[in-house]
Amino acid sequence: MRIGSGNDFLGQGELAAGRETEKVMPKRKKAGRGKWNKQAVCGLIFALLPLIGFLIFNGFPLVISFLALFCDVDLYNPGSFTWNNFEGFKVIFLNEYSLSSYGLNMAHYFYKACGITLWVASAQFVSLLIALVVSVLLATKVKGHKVFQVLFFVPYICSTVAVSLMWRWIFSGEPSGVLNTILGTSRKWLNDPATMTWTIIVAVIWQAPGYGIVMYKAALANIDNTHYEAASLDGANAWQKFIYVTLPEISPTTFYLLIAGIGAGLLTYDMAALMIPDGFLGDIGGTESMGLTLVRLVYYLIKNDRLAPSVVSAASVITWVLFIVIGSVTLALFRRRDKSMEG
Amino acid sequence: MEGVFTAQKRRKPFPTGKVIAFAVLVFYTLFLFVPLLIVFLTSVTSTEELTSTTSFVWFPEVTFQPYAAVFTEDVSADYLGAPSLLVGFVNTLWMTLLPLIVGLIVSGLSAFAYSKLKFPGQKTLFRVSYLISTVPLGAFNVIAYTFYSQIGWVGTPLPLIVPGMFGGMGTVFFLKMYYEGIPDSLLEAGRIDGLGIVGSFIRILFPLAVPAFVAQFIFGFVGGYNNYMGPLLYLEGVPELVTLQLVLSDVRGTFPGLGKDNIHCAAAILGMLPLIVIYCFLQKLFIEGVAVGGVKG
Repeated sequence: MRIGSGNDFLGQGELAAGRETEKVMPKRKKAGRGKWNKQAVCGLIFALLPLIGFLIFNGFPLVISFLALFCDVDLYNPGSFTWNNFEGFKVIFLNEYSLSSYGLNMAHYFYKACGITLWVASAQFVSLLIALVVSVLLATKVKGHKVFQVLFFVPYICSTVAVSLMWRWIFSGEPSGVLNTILGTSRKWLNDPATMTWTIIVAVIWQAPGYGIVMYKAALANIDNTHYEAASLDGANAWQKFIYVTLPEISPTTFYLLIAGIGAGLLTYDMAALMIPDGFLGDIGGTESMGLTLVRLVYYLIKNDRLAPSVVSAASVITWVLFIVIGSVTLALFRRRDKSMEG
Repeated sequence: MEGVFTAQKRRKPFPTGKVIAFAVLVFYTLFLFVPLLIVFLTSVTSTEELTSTTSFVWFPEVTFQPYAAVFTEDVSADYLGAPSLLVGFVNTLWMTLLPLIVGLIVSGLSAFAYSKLKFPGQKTLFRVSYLISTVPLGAFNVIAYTFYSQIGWVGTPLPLIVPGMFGGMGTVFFLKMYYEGIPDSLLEAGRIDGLGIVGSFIRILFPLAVPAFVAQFIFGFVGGYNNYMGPLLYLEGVPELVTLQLVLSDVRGTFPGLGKDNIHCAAAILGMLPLIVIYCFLQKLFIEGVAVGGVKG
């Protein structure tokens, strides 16, 4: 999942929700049709449509996956739920159990994927830091800052697929590979468990900061210059101004980017799957599963439904683990922010 | 600039800070663009030159033959009736534009209802919408396959199209905020002139909110054009519904053989080209759109 692909509403709605608006269309009292005049009916229908879509296309998957936590689900037969005695949980959490019932040690893959996911997700923090540094430098109105700004946004519009092709070509294991030519080595970067996870991280860090840079740039432009002037009068140096004026002023953006970044990082699928494709049977997520993220494991289970009747159940367990982790991190960040706003 | 300066000190001090800042930015630019340049270099290298050396070709004899090969050496072209890249491009376009445009209209009307109309339960509905849309449901994207499989939509483009047609709550919030900057008196005037509810939306509100719609359109389009996981989940194994990103993700299958990396690179560049070209013309809209699309205030 990528940050900011058209669904960034955190903050907006909050602002809108708190705002009282005056309504133009006055009630036509003379019409005398009570509350349900034309405006009310139209308004209700218009307002409800996105909500209905949301409830259908998010609600059903949510309910099905919840039931699937405890039941075997048939992918081709709606409404077929049979109690499976916590099979999904056992398969995902118990090593010996899953080996005997799947022929593949799913618990092992799950624990491995947890580690790899956290590792890959950490690239989002690096991206955030790069975005902060770059945008602060841009804000100094250094020569050519407008050109830089335009250039730095390019990775955002490049597709993950094309970016992965690019990095796979650079990390190619042939002696004629770009990196191998530069370093004079013949290393198999994309197959060597010691380097493969890093190739994913490099590709993510190449692509991710563009969005943050734009967001930070807008936030920095909105800082009232008088704050800096006041700080200058108090004798603050550039570093102190950054710490005591800039950082607090852009904290809403940091907060938003942090939530979006953690979510996107923990749900990494595209870049990992494209950089390090699945190997043969046991090599889900490449050699030694060094490219296996949790979402990739969910994907693998769903697409290999002949493995066992409980695959959807096992996939649901991982899905809910992810949902609960992302949900609690988001909630904790919201709480923290509200606290700091009160103080 | 805010340093102490006295009458004697006319000459500016050497701007060390700015030079370092500039150097860092140049370095970052290289990090972003050298990889792209490498892909471009390979895309203009001939297969003979690629296979004749054991090191990377930094200075190829420039040929555009790999770009032609993208359309002529495609192994699935016979089956599809056209080169996969073209089929993928056309599929991507309609599968992106259809839900995007319908969805924007629906979201636009919904935001209109929330901000300019009056109906019972308005505030409650808005609060509820906002609350449930803050729940981070991204984790369910893959498991949703179960739902679409059970209703028989796998192997059809419906899962990529129908949900989007209902609009998005994020878009509704964004447009609602934008509408609130448009004075109600304009709508009032339209009503006096005899415009109905839908009429006042089409004739008055929409024309004034075009920039907001454009911003949402651009980002919806970039997201849809680059979407990989959706088509992979629902359209894998349906060759005629292949999308551009699916074609690009399988270049090794479409152009098999040794020394075809130049064709792969050319395909990647051709795939990115439409968005890059649009971006060159509309950079400001893109960048501003992202900035307003996120945090406000």
